[in-house]
Amino acid sequence: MSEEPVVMTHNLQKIFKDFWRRPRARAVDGINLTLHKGEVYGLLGPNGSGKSTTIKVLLGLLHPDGGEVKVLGKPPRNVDVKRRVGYLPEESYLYPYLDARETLRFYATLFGLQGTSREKRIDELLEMVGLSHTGHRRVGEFSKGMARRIGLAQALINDPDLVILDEPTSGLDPLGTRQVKDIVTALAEKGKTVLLSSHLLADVEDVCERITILYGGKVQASGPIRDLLQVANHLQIRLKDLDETQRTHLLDTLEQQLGQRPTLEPTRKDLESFFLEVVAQARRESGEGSGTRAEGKLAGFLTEKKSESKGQSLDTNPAASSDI
Amino acid sequence: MLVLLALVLLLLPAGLETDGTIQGALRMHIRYSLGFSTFLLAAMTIWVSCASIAGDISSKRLQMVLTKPVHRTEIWWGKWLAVVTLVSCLALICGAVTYLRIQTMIQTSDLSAEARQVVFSQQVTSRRPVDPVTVDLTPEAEELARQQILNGAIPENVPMEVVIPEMERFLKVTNNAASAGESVSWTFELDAPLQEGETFQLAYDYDGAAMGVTLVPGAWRIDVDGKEGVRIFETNETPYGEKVIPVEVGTALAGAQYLTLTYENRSESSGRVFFKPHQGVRLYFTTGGFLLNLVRALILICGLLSLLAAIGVSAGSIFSLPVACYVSAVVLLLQAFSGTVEEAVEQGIPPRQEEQGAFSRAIQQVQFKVFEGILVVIQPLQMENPLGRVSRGIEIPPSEVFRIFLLRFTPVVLLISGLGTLAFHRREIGEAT
Repeated sequence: MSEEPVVMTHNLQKIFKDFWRRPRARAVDGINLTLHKGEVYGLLGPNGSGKSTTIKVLLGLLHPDGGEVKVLGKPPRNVDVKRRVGYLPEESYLYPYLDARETLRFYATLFGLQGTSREKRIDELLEMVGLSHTGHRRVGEFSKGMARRIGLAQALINDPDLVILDEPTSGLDPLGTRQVKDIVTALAEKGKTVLLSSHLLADVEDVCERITILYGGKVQASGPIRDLLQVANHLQIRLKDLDETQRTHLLDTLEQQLGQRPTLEPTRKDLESFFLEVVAQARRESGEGSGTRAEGKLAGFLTEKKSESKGQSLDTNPAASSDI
Repeated sequence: MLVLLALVLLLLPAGLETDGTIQGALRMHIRYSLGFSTFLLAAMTIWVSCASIAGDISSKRLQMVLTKPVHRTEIWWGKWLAVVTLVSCLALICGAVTYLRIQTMIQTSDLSAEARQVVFSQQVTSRRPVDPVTVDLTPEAEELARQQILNGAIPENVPMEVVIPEMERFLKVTNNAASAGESVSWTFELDAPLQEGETFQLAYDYDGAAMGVTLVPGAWRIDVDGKEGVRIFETNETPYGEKVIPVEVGTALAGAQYLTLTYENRSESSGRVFFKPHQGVRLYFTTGGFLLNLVRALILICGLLSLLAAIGVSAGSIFSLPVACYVSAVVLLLQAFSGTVEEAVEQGIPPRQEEQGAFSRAIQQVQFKVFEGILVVIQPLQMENPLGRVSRGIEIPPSEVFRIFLLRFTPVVLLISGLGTLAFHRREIGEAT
């Protein structure tokens, strides 16, 4: 018997209505999604394609007008479901008069976290997102990138089984983007399911196993990213350390065998890798700057093997229970 | 808002003109300075309560909270409780500041011991009022109406339901007036027999006089159980404003539970002395301290603010922030003018005039029905200003505070919160605009 999907929508419909309850826009039109445990799933589409609406329905913020939605096997507005979900909205809507530590404490308390375990998690998360040295600064003074980082930290405060990230790298520098991608990958390796919505296709390509592309509220393409991006009848051969003679010999042989002369191009690094190398070199030479400091390593509590719930059970499935 | 509150509490009394007496200044502090602070707090309650949910929705912060494992009902009640706690603390601080200022004023004023005693016995105190036994004036009013119609003073086509209330009003005025050489009486039924040695106050409030501003000789007589003139207090004063005569219960008055109070107008001129038809003559019994009375008034104010907070949070659960504020402000204004609305409804639709068209008559009837509807809606919010009583040293009984909370505030808050939480539960958050 196959494992129950973490997220399941069937023929999901969402219609926005005007003041007189007349249909104004069909934001989501018959979307089917199935996310499995430990999977990083990408939701792509241009503005107004229905990505954020779908996410808000999955979070119980909007009511579906048709179809079926199940998150962790239950309706999305179920409080037990919310205990196991982490959410980073497209912008981090934070209380500006709270500092970073107070912000995390506030959201941790909503999950029922108390005492030293809460403070330990906050320390680990601040360390993970590189804000441990700005824990007492009001978040209203934070840059967009720092606000995104604290937003990501609050999304992980409950050690969620399902993490929904809406534009997680928006406003982040390349270093921050790389760290977020590393965190997403590490979360998936630990068995957590990640639903990622983004405009930045390179980010999605780097971390997602499967994607769905939406347009006009409908699914336009869906499947494993490797299959979707495969170009038929085109092959790539990678070799290194060839001298001029070997190259000429290779080209001649291939031409003789295939009847067409292939082209040779040197392998290029992508810009992100190059940038990260330069920054890493600079850091080695001149030490840490005044900005954020993080290695993209997962917080300790997120990597721990979950123990049996001692207090209030968060789930009927013991394997998925939390130590909150 | 907090700065404005501080300015009203500390500076407003200095800008208001009083009658020059310490009593007037104290009344000004309690009734107007604290009263205006209360009005500001009510406005603040509406703003904060509307913004607590509607503001969080428009700033999208609520999206972060609603995705956490908290029931929407808990969030609604949490917001309401936070607003109520904030405004109640501010109301109590305003009350404490007013109390301290009153004490300072009395301590620093150069009052004589007698004048100080008057202040403490009549204003900075808590007195239980006893009103005269009410008399059913309807039979007398009906008889008077018939006579007036027979005499031709009232046209026959005027309906009796219009004439009778007018006659009753007329009788109320004449039954509280004494012409020269005549007397007027009131009967009082006390809760318990009078004890020897205890004191009470005979208070009467003149309602102007027909003879102009002049000294009127008169006398107040207390009769008990058929014995006339047990106590007589002669007066010679200008018939304006409220006067108080302290009465010590002696052997003759001890044990009496029914008192008849008679005012004799000993003037030789034809002037007529009027007392206010409503609460014009009362007896006061001291029941406790001023501070406790002030606290009870503040508790009632906090109750009213909690009701406003429920309205504000509910409005914020249904509407956007500006609309929610507008709706709540309208409710607050209706509450402020509820007396006017009630008066209009009590007076009813005026009798049909010959020159009045059918259309204007229909408009009038619609207006009346609207006023009746408004009164039904705002009735739970209607409450006699407790500060008015505190400023006059009149007791707000604990039983009344308890009754208002139990029978009015609690059910109305529960009803409004039920509607608010239902609306909040159904509200979609994060809808595309």
